[in-house]
Amino acid sequence: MQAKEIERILDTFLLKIQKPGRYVGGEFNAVIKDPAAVKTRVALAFPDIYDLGVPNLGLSIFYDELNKMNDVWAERVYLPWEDMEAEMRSRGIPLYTLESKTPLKEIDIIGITIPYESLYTNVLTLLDLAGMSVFSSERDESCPLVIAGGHSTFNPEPMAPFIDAFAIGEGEEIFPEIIRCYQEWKRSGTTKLQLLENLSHIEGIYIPSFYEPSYHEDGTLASLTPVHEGAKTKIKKRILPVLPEPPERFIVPSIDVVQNRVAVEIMRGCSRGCRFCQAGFITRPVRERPADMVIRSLSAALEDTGYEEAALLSLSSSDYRPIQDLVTNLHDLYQQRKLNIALPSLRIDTVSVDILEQLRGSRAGGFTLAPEAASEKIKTTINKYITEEQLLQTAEVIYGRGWTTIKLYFMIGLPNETMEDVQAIADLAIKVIKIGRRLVGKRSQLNLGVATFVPKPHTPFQWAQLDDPDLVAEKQALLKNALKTPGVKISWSEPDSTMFEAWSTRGDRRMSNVIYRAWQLGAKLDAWADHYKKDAWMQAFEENGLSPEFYVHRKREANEIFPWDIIDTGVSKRTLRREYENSLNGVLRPDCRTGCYGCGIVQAFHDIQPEEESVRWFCPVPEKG
Amino acid sequence: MERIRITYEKTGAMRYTSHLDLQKVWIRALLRAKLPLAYTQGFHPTPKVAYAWPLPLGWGTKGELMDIWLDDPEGKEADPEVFIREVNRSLPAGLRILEIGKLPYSDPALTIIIQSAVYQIFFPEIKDMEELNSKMSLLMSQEQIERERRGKIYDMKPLIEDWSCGKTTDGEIFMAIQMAARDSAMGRPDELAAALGFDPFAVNIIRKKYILQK
Ligand code: SF4
Repeated sequence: MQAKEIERILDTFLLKIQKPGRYVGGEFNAVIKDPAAVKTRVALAFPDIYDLGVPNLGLSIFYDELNKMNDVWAERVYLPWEDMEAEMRSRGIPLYTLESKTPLKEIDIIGITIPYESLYTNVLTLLDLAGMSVFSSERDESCPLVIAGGHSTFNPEPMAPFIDAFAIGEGEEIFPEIIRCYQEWKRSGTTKLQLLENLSHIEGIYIPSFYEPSYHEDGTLASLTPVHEGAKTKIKKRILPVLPEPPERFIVPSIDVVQNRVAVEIMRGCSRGCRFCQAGFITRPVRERPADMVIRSLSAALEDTGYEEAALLSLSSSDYRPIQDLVTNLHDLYQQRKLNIALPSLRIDTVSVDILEQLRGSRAGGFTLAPEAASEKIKTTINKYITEEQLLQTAEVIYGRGWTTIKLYFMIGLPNETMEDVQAIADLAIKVIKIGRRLVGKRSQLNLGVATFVPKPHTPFQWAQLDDPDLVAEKQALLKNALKTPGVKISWSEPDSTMFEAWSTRGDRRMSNVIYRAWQLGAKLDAWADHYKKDAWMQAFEENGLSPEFYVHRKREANEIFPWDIIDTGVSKRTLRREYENSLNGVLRPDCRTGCYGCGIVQAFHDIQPEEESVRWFCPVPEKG
Repeated sequence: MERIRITYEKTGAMRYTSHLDLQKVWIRALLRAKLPLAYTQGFHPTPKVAYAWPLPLGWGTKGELMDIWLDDPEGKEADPEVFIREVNRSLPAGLRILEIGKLPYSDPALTIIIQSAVYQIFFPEIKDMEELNSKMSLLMSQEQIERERRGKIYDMKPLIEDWSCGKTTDGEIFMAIQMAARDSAMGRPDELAAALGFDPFAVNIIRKKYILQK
């Protein structure tokens, strides 16, 4: 089907579809190029609906970057909602790019971002709707090259058979390299195998078909070995030594989406070392953008988009050294315009309250803090230690300055946790709401978000097991009973979605069979609570002779080989293990800015570590010689 | 303060942007064009903009109207050519200003002075103009054209002020129809299409222009 034909047919039925504006493109800042004038056409894909995909910062960065290349045209593609998918299938419309309505199959490279695991089945839908086999091995050179990246691909194995090449780590440099490699291959006119081989030489590229797993009798991984000449034994993630200018052009959708705002990343990486936090470990080292660069690009993007909202993103905003300067300058610049600036991930202290007060005219939406734990023991276990005094003082200031709502995030199901530790959360919550009642009376509100901890790859807790569901239920019940206090509201993570996340994040290559089968049985849009098909997943496990238990509740030995060990994040497995043992022995590890503990980052990336003062990392620069 | 009436078109992909979303699109575009928008008074000041009748999702328009107010003491924005060029550059594909005119600050609102609207209805299923002509003549020969809107029966006939059938150079058959467009009497071309026995989602409707009170 040709682009013109797709456009014509869309007009005949789009009005019967929910939010048809998702499927027509034409937004402000969408890039239109002459297909005849470019060499390589890329589709940037977000495997969920338009509303969630448009605000994705990663894809915005690539869209801006790749379209600056004269011989490349990057377009966008999102997953249709069910009603549209059904129409497309019944009318034989293949998935198409939004800009030119080109069938995805005619594009050269499809780049899929997979930030979280609940998008796995959507990736299959995406490939299938494009009219291609979901299996890499069944797609030849006539099909586009399918690459994937994003945080969940730090364990690529569960998606291995579906993706031609994974790009691990930061994509700003690697994506253009992939395109150049593709262009050279195209000129040479050789096989897809040759293309994959060429790509495998690029640092950060993992070609799953070049590796084969073998398993021990107990089901654990024995090895994941290269079976292709020249394939690397470890794939080191890519990073940028210095953060580049952020994008200034953002797509401005003509319909409402989840976030209508300009987002600027102020800092990448985190030095805190909270042991549950995957992002904190896989995005090291810490790199900051200079405050003037942030302000310049934020202002430019605001002018260019007309947005009234902005977000400054990082894993730990308070650690951004020029935070005070940045906030004061933004306040001076934008107080007239009533701009709403979000600054998530602030430390729990009174300075944060001053900061947020400067940034936001309104106190709507409440003040969010994430202590994660309440008892002494668990604070030490997770290595996020905020004293009770500090938290209560902060709450005092927040309510005292007129906020009526505080949101506190906690986790349950952590290693070593007992009922007393959970009780401590309830006790703390009661102390907080009492402060609220005293200072703002009956209007005071405390919203508790209580998540169930999921052990993630590449963190010290990768050896830990997911808490027993019955125990989790008991812990939730304890909190529910202890917190019938007026003004306190609690929200939980769904047990099913916790299980789902736990097995999919730690899956090996056999998990791909489960994903494929569950998808065949109708599992899709798993991130949408009302869509999650538990039965399909259970049946898929059973048919493949696997059990969720194995992936989820099993304790892992110190020397177990993990499927994701093939990926080298720079932080050594030895460091992670030591941190796991520290957590069990009640040993805290201070922020590594105050003293490097040799996590491995310097060894892994010393060759690109900048020496210039203004862009130096916190990591010590090794002696040359 | 200055009041400017904008005539614009909304076609292509923009047809799938609802009236509510369209208002946001306009505000952002006007902000991008750096116009000195006047704001409403009150606790949540918003730019002062007034629209004509909402256009249902999926319809196009070639002569839509809106008014904006500017804080422009020096009359910098007065040059229509510059104004149109600058704002059009800030608009997404499918939205385009055709002309602008100044008018007295406190003239009555658009929704008060609009009397009627002229539409073009395209019928992809129809290949012969005469067929459409006779269907419509038959319909109009009835004493009353009873239709239902939001559970209420009403007579569409008095809302139809003028009509004729035509054919584009590409051979597409359409009907040009003028219908009442007042708060108390709002003609709906999609309801007319339904009255003629067509799927109202499968016809293409374009609002061509408004007819204002003299
Ligand atoms: S090398 Fe040292 S300073 Fe750098 S991230 Fe690792 S522990 Fe922190």
